[in-house]
Amino acid sequence: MNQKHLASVLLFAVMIAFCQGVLMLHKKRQAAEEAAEAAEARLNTATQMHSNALMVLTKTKETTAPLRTYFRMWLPEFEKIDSELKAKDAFLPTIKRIPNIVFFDQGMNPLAPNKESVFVTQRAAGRARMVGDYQKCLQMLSMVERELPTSRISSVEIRKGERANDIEVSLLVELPVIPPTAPAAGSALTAANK
Amino acid sequence: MKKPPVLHDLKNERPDLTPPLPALMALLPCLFYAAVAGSIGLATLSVINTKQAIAAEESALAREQDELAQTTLIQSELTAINDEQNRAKEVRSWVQTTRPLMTMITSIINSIKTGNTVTSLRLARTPENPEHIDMTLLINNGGSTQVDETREALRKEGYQPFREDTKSNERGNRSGDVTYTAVFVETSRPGN
Repeated sequence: MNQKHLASVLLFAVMIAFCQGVLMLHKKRQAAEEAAEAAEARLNTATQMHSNALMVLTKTKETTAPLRTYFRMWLPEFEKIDSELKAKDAFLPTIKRIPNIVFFDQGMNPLAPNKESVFVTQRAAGRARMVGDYQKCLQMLSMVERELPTSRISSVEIRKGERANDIEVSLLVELPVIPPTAPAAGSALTAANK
Repeated sequence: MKKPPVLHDLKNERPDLTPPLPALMALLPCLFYAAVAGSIGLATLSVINTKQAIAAEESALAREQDELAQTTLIQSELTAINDEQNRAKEVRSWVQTTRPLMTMITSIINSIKTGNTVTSLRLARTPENPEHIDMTLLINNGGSTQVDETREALRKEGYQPFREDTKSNERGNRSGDVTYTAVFVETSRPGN
């Protein structure tokens, strides 16, 4: 091999190196374009997901609007009682508002858990046993139901009293208790507060 | 024949040291220049396209992140709505069991005819079925006629009885004393 041959081979080598370089850049371009296509496909999927989620949200908002309005209407009443003490403060003054009713017993039973409930997790029960004029006792019962709209009379027993117009009433009223930081049902039972 | 001097006279005529390359190899410089020019052109094109693809990918990624963030926000809002809905269902089911018993009590009392008296009236809800109201009514005089009157009065108020039982409590010369027990459910709820 003489110098001319050597120069020719060298020239070929340089040409091949150029081609290799171009090929490398081409492959890099192909990889970048594939990555861009993949990103575009993921973007389309994300856009579709966003669109679907927006549709579900709109539909859910529409379908649940009446129930949620109802909930917001009642929520302040439910939030008034967040402990056994508040339940006691709500119940006892209400039953004592009507004068001339003699109470034999009054107080609160221990908080009871509301099973399978995540919001109204507990309920307090106020009890009272009294005797008094028929009309005044019924007025008192009516007042309990009117002034404590979330209360539920779980038991009421009315018997004839000793005097003509008197009646004896045994009352058990349940009140929903919504703890400020909603604990698991039944985890915050407190001792009886007489 | 001797060649005339071309460049200058100082350069002596020198014979070729090596044999010339084949005539085809005359294309080699042309190929080289074409390869250089082509490589530069293609490389430039590739670099431009690569940059465009990278920019498109980055843009798509940014938009994807934006879409995903918005979807996450929507999902959290949806979770909040579902949570509120569950709470609302609980509130509704509680409120539905708080229908005042006073309507029932006054209906019962108003249904009692003159001469008949109520010895005892007990209304109770159970925690398991708070919408059911257990009633125990002890009536002096009136018997089953009075029970029918009371039942009818409660029906008009929207309370439907089931599991009814009427027991006679007649003792000595007293007749018409009965104990009426029944479970009532509300058949109509105004406003619902």
